[in-house]
Amino acid sequence: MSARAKIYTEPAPQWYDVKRAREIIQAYNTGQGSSQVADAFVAQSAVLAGTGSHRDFSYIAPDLPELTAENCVACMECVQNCPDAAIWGKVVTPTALDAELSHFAAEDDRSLIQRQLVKTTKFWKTYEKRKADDPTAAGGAWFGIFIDPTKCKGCGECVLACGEHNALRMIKKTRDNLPHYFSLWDFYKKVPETPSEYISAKLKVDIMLRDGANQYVGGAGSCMGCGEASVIRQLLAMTYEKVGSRYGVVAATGCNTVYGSTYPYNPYRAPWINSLFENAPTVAMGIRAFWDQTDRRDHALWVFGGDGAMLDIGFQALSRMLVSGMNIKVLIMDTQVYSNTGGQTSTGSFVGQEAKMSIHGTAVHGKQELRKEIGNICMMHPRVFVAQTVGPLTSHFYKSVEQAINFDGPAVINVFTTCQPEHQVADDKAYDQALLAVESRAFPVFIYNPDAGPTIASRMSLQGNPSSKRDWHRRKTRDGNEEVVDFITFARSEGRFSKHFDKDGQASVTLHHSMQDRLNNWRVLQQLAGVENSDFRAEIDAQRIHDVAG
Amino acid sequence: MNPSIEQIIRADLMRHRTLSTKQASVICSCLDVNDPLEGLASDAFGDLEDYEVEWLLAGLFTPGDNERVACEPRLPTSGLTAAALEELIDTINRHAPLSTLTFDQRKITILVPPVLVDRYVRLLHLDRCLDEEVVAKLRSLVDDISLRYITSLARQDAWQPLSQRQLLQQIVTVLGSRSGRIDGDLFTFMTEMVYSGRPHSIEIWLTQLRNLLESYRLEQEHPVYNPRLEEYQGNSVRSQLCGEQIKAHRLAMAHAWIALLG
Repeated sequence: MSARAKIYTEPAPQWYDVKRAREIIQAYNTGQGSSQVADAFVAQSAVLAGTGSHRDFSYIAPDLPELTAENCVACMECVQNCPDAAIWGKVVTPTALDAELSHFAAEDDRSLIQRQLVKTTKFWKTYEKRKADDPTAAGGAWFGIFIDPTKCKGCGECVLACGEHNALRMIKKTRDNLPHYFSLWDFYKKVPETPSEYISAKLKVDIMLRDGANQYVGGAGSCMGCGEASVIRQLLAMTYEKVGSRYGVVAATGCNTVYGSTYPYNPYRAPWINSLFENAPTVAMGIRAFWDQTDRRDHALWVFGGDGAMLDIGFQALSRMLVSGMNIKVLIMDTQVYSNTGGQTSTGSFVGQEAKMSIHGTAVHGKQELRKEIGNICMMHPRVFVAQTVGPLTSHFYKSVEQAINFDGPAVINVFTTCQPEHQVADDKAYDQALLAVESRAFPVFIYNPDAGPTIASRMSLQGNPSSKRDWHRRKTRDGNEEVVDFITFARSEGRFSKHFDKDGQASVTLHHSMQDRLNNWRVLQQLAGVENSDFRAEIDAQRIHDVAG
Repeated sequence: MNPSIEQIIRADLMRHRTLSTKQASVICSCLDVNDPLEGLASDAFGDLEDYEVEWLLAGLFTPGDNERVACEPRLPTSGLTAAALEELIDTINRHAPLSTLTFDQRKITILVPPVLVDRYVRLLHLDRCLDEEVVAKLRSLVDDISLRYITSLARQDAWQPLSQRQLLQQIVTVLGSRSGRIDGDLFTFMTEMVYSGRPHSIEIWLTQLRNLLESYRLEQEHPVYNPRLEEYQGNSVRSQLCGEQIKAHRLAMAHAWIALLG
């Protein structure tokens, strides 16, 4: 077993040969995987929970993030947005720090650790102030960000999430700096867990300070920077916060089931089962019924799937499950394409998007059908909680997931997730592209809670969308000019739409058609939420005047 | 008349800033409003704890190299004393700097919260001391404009431990003896490398530079696990934070330093 990784061991069923499982993991970790004798557990497709923690990627990542601690404000955005569970925050009390530093004889070793820690306003000044008022209260504590070099793939997503705080940057991994990462990671593993008094109930981001929040332990075979994996991590952290380990996952075939079960590495710490594209919600109904009959009503049950599984092949199963009223939660990772099977068009693909089965050519310019809006459809089922959100809008995301879990009935969380190869964007772009998708109305966020009021408008919130009373958002560019952020702005930033731009950067007719589709969808959401759109109002008034004049 | 450090800082704190969609969304969620500017104008914003204000707005008020360099001409080599730094922060807060934030074609003017002023000023490293001898030697190695930039970098964390201060002294001495010249790019690269590698001597640093070159040479092991994925992604595979341009720059810098010191 890798002594360098932080290992998560979960209870195994009695019938499972744990010793044999350990031998197999050891074999895979040392490159001997393919020479192993055939195994009964492979035949049963059963993999122990948490075995992904044994995987050591430290030979893979070409670059690693480096912290400039003084700039860090403990916002935890880097931790939330890491797809590989490779970057963590910890609050360390002065007593715990002194105890750990006393084990190091060399000043150099101590200073390496010390410089990774910072006295933030959040964990130092605030607590010192409280202690001044109440001497029994916890005093100020250090805060540090630590990188797990056995899990980091070097995508750089955390650096973009850190953004203007400038507390992280990517450096080239070398034989000189890698040992520092391991020393710091050892420190992280040894010092006590963040004391609970430092975890704010107000700030949802703080849930990632709990050791238990690491419910998706990394070691998965996902691409660098995978947008889906970050979302799964965040969602399971909130699930753990709400129900502890009392939850399970049914995953519809797709990328998430492939990188989530690359034998013998399982990144999940809770019961997880893979079903086919078409029937994951149906399988979940069976599990829910069984759990409800066996005194597990308090267990949360998630169904994971992509747009292929939930909008297309398994759409009927999803709809059937929603109508059942059963307490099942659904996560849709909407990449607008069948990522795992090679990039075929789904009904969630945008108009004009180039994907398999809608290749951009002379006669047909990418996908021609309008995009299916699964969130809108789900809302029209009887009493279903629906949220459409993105991982980087952390507060909105956690609010969505928390409310979905609290809701006593079916809930759907539809999340825009980047697929780097199919969207043709760089490894660290999941964060930026998700935000731009919201900003450009490609993927507006909303929460629809049937219990929130008597009318559709009172149940629906568009909070989180910029310029929610306008057609498009406008923002200042770096050179001080103003630009309209529309769907063409979004399309320009992704390779999947590149054939729609001529050499002068002018967008095609198809892309303008796609933009109108996005605008129409946004106006529908505004109308449902009871938000008056001043641009739309002006357009209608102008049309009325034109009609009267005509 | 040259502006004082206080005036320089106040001018930067008071310039216009634009909220990003991410910042706006966090403000809306935190204050439960639909319009971030409305949220910032609300009583609820005033009721937030310091750490919450920092969480919402620190990104907008984080100084970088340019802001540090701007202070450098007015800063003594020894830096400000701790008392002078505290006095500076108090003075700026007493004059209640106002900043205009823009979002969605609208503006709001807010008092820059003291917690942000405090963080901003401390990140300027005004209290960091430079070695007089090192500065004197640097004057012969760089032009005046680069000197401000380089002395500002020399106040960063990378150069604060005693062993790294001694290393800097060794380096400028060797460069001086060889009539070497350096510029801001070379010094930035060295500062970053020294922070990461913490070398104690020129020999160790040269070894680290060679190891950096070796790391790039060994990068033949491709960062994309599946070549088909690379084919799909085309030219967009690597992050701009560590892609080809960064690699080329680092290789050029490493070679230049080896030539200067090797």
